[in-house]
Amino acid sequence: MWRVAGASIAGTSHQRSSVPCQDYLEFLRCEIAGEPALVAAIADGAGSAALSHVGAKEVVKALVSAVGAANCAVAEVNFAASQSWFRNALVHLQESAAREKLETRDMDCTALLAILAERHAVFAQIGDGAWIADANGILEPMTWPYKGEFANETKFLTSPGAIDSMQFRKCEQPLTAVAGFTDGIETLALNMVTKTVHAPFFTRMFGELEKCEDDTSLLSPLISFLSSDRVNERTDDDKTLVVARRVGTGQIRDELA
Amino acid sequence: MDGVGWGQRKGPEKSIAQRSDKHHRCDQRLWPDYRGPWLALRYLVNRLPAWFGRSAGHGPLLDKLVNGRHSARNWRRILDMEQTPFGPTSDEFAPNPQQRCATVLLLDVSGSMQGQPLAELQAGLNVLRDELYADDLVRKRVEIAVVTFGGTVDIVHNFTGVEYFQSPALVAKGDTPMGQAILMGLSLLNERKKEYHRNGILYFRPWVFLLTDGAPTDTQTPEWTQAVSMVRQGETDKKFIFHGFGVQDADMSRLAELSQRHYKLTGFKFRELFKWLSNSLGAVSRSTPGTKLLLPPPPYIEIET
Repeated sequence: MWRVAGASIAGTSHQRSSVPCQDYLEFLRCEIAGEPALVAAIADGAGSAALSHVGAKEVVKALVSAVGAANCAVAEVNFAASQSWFRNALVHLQESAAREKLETRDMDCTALLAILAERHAVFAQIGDGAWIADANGILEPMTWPYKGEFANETKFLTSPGAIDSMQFRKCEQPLTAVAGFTDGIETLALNMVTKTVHAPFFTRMFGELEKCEDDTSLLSPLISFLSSDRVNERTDDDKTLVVARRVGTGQIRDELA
Repeated sequence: MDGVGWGQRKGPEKSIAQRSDKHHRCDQRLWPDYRGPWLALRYLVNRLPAWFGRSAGHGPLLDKLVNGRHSARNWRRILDMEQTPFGPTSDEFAPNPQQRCATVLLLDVSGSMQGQPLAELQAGLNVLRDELYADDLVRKRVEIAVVTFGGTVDIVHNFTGVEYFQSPALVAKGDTPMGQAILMGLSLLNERKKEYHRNGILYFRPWVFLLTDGAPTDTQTPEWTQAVSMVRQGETDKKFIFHGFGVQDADMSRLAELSQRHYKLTGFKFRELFKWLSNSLGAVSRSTPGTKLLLPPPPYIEIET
């Protein structure tokens, strides 16, 4: 059982220029091949694409529904299976663009996917942003933001060869906590020099998440945190953060303890 | 009691014995019930802004204080915000270095720049510094190096952040070894990029900015040929953005050889030019992934008609 809180907040630069929030986040509790699982997907629309906020939403919905409907156990998920989900999302994006008589690149976005089952977890990503997880008490990056040579360059789902170079990580051990975020949060949560997770950013959140009674009670503190001045001092881009913590009792929790 | 007093309560008249002490102590006509003093105070506070020259209403703080019923809830909300689960801690954010935008200025200080042009250029550099310094984020992100060419090629200012940029004193002398200066500038840039890589610093596409009032005097040397091919290659590979600016008698065909982005500037509008440069660098250093920037064209450009 996972306790989850997540939100997307428009960056101050977007608010100033009345550009909509181009991040999109969705998570779903479901059963995959009879096993309870949490599926989370995030997308960050390209600043250069006029309708990337629509693209981000379409991609996230396509990913979540494809994974939710998958009939192979999470333990069996491999690189190729994840690629097929991303390919589906890309086809869906191309179809949506064609239907609306748009170029696909008008809906450019990154794509991040996580599937958390009881004993296994899968992380996949195209572009920047990252997934991090608590494995044996240490916060580790599961994926790392992809950057081109320059800071304002990344790969999008629609970029040539994007699906072939997709990042993929599978954890064969039960995780206690997981977080995913877009590039707006990147420089606050990751140490880009040492390529490690900046643990103080997460430890408090995970602690609070474990204590709270239900998913919704942490939502408003999360939103006010993401829109706070001290976050906005460090980033003017859209910010998406989703945090998940294993809660409740059970065999796995006892094992982890 | 005649029963027509201001604020008279409805209902059967109470005998003096039935009234509470509170009502005994004040005149019923002026203070109709226990809320009287409070209403009066509220009226006074409400009127205050008007008396002090503000035409309509009052500020949100006064509003919260005055509208008594809500104030407790407001205060609780303010206190709750202080106690949010994600409250500030000293090390909550990763101490990442800021992303950088390296800029090389290649400035012509050959003998012909003597006098007003050089003074204008010097003033332009100060404008650039002040403009970049004014923005908190840009100040931390833009880095400037200055290479001059006039007789010799000199690194008069190696890369520093805008915070530490002190515009160098320029001296006009000699001929115009532009090719050498370009090579020097590009090698500085490469060194800086290596430095960024070593320290895990993200960076934006660098800018190379050339300003001349004449023609290169080293066109017969291998340096010039090499400079031309390196600038062209760098532009095609999108390694940097090269801008060439000519003033007065500048040989625009030579600048055209280097890059498509070459402009003839009217007079010596260096201040305006550097202001444009700082605005453009500001926009670049704030850009996010996948952003195509629409920068305005440089000001005071002569267009052949």
